[in-house]
Amino acid sequence: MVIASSCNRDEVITTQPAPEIILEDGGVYSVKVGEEVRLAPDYRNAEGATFEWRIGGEVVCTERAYVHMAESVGEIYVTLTVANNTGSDTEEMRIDILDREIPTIDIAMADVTVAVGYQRLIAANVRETELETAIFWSVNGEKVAEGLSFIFEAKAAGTYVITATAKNADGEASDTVTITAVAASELPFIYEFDTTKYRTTAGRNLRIAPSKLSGSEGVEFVWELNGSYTGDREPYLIFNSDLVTMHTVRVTASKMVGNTPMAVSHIFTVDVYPEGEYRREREADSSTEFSHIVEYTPAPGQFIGDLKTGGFTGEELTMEAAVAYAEERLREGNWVSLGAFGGYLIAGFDHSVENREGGDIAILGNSFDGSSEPGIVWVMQDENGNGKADDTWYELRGSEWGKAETSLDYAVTYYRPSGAGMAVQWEDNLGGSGTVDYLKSFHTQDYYYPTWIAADSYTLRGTRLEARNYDASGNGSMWIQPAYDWGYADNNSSTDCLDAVNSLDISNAVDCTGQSVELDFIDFVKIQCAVQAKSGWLGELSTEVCGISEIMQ
Amino acid sequence: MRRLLLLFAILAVGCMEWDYGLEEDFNFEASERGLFICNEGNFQYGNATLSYYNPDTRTIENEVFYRANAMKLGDVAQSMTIYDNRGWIVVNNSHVIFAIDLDTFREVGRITGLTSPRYIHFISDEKAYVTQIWDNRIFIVNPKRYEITGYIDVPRMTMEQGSTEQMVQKGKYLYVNCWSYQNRILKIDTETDTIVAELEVGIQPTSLAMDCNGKLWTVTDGGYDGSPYGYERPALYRIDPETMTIEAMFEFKRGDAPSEVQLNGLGDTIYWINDDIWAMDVTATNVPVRPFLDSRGTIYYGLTVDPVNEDVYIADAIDYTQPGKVYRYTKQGELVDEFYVGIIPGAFCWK
Repeated sequence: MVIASSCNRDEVITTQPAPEIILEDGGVYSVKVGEEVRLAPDYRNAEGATFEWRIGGEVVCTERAYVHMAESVGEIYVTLTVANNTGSDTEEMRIDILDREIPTIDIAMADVTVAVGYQRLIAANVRETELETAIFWSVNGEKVAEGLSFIFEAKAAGTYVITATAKNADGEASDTVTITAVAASELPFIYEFDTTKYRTTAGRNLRIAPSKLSGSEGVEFVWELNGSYTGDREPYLIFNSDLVTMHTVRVTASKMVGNTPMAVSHIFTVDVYPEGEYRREREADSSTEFSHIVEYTPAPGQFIGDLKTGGFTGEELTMEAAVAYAEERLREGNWVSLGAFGGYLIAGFDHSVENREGGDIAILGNSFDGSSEPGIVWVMQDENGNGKADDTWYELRGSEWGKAETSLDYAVTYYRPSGAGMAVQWEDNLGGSGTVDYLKSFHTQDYYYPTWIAADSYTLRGTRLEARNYDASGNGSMWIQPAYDWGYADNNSSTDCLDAVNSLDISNAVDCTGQSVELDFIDFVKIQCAVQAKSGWLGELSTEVCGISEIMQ
Repeated sequence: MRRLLLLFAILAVGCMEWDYGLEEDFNFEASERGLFICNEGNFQYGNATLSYYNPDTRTIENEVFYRANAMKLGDVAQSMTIYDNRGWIVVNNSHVIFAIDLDTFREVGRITGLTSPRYIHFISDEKAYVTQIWDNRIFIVNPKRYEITGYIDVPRMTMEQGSTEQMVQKGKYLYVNCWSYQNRILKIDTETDTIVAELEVGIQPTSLAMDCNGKLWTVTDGGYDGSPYGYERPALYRIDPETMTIEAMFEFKRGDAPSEVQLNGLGDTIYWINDDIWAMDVTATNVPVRPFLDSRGTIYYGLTVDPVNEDVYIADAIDYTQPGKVYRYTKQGELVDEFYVGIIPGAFCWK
């Protein structure tokens, strides 16, 4: 805006033109954080004029050009006023301060000890930037390969420090993993359990199995029950007793290392309860709806932590907060996402849910024709009556149960990404690995890894169904997630699904040996995402739960 | 992205159930000014609705189609066009266009047999074009007889990646943007129903408008990270429709997803959504430094400008799940009204 006026000087009438600011690029400047940007517009009639640059009302400069040091990411508005005796001109400019696009890189792998001759493909996960990025690998400081992955081989015994580096014009980052190679006979024996306390009901099978087992070649396992050898020789034990008491179980694993016998022992207690002792009968004011959420442990996923469509606040830093989130969402009939494979949600009821004829539990999902993301439903009785979901889970058998392509005891370990905006890498217990992709265009929260999981990696176990999703277009634009026959949550089944509600029957419960188990009632329900698959740009398949209730016929 | 987003956008059921069973009698004055709002609803959930707002009395009526007809509107109400004192509502995934009386909202007819219709544009009393997604044809219909009478095949377009979208007419020529997995503006001779020219722009031009100088405006969304069709900086384009050449191009940041170019009644100010709401003089040489209105951190999904007083209406889909909201601002950016509508409000239509 130019304000011109005439003035009278030395009795001669002259018109001194007012100054004008001529902006380049519309007055928008772009700079990376930590760098300087120079705002130097062109001027007309600015000889002898005064310059005043203001940010937020404060004068920051009185020169013709202003140099701004970009300290933090964001937008800064700068107002420039140029004035002379005749008039003035004012323009507003904007400085967009962008984050430096320093690449981030991850190797999703824990340090490991392996046998000489071990070979594997090691892949890095790199956050994409607009800058050209070079990726290279080194082993013990020596560059060995370029690109996103390379095949490592432990040719001889020793320690291999493997480094992946990503480098672009803004900076570089690297990640390291250490692989120790030893002779096969010297491999360390790992035999670990998640718990030492088990509970079960009289007459039912209970599996006592390690959560980690490796280097078990040549190891002997001996099991004792209440001081007597059981004769079992496997690394796990199927426990079954009619005796209502606390039992003591001991396993001893032994191996000769050279001439030295090495042994590891674990002692467990198994509390056996009479069936139905703690059954809570339905009362007049009992609700058919779930009464509370016990645990919400999703796998990483595009909706996990999503502030816009996922309803998260970003403050979910504890399991209590995550549970409160899930509980509130479900009460509103809103969806709760379980993320990729293995993610789960546990709900309880204010009474024991009876096993009636036909379906007993209704689970509302968001499936529709062409979009099924099946979750396996597990049930538990509060066998010890302590109100906690610390008893035995029984899987509800569905149509895929017992098929060769269904994997039991499938376990996936997810690794927290090293930087915001990155895919989450995972490894499974079958030698597979992959990523839960970061879908920048759709879900922009920093991390898809649950914020309330403190550990930098966590493992989810369960039964995995074969993925059946496919691209109907042939070019990646139209993905179909077909339904499975019956017996799953969030599955658009033609037999047990109506209006996105799946009906589950407690009579389909099976135990750890695959035998049917008769449960007259249950107290807790667990829904667990049962596929590990991605549908291109739609991202990972993920079971969604919108409601859990008892079916009263 | 809107339609495709909904393929996996997550939905809650348990929404409000209307159980009128009776047709409600509306009778709005034919002369009254009004604004229809198409609430898309969730894809595959059949919960699309129509809202009606009176800008003078500031009253909102929701679910007017259901209430007037005792029949659900269907699945994904994409757009509405008024012609000959009738409202034509395009219900995308129900493959239908309903014609309603503008005073009673009662259905007076319907065009069926459409693939996946997006917009309808009237050439005359007896001819209209219907654009589609997942189809490589623009349908020609006779709105008087509610019949499909022919097709315009779009060259170099497969059914799977087919997308024709918004339509703008100048003289005998009609202009169409091809959006989903496309990058073109088509020029069609409405006398011969043939495509006479094409112009390539950036990835996925979302919308189309014509200003007071007869120039076309479109804004691309630039695709998305990981798209098989590509990913680039989106841009706003000014196009000369006579020569089908790009006159001006204003680039945005990569990762931005602008949409919804709209003009005011005079056609001298262009508005669009790019997270915030932006406004610009059609002769400007640069995008302004500051947006017209700041984002609320939710999902701005629809935009319109009152052709009479230039008030700006913004549809907020909030989270795609709960009933959306419409904000009404003056030309100066002062909030004058806000009201709840249906799930995922997208398109507006001025009576």
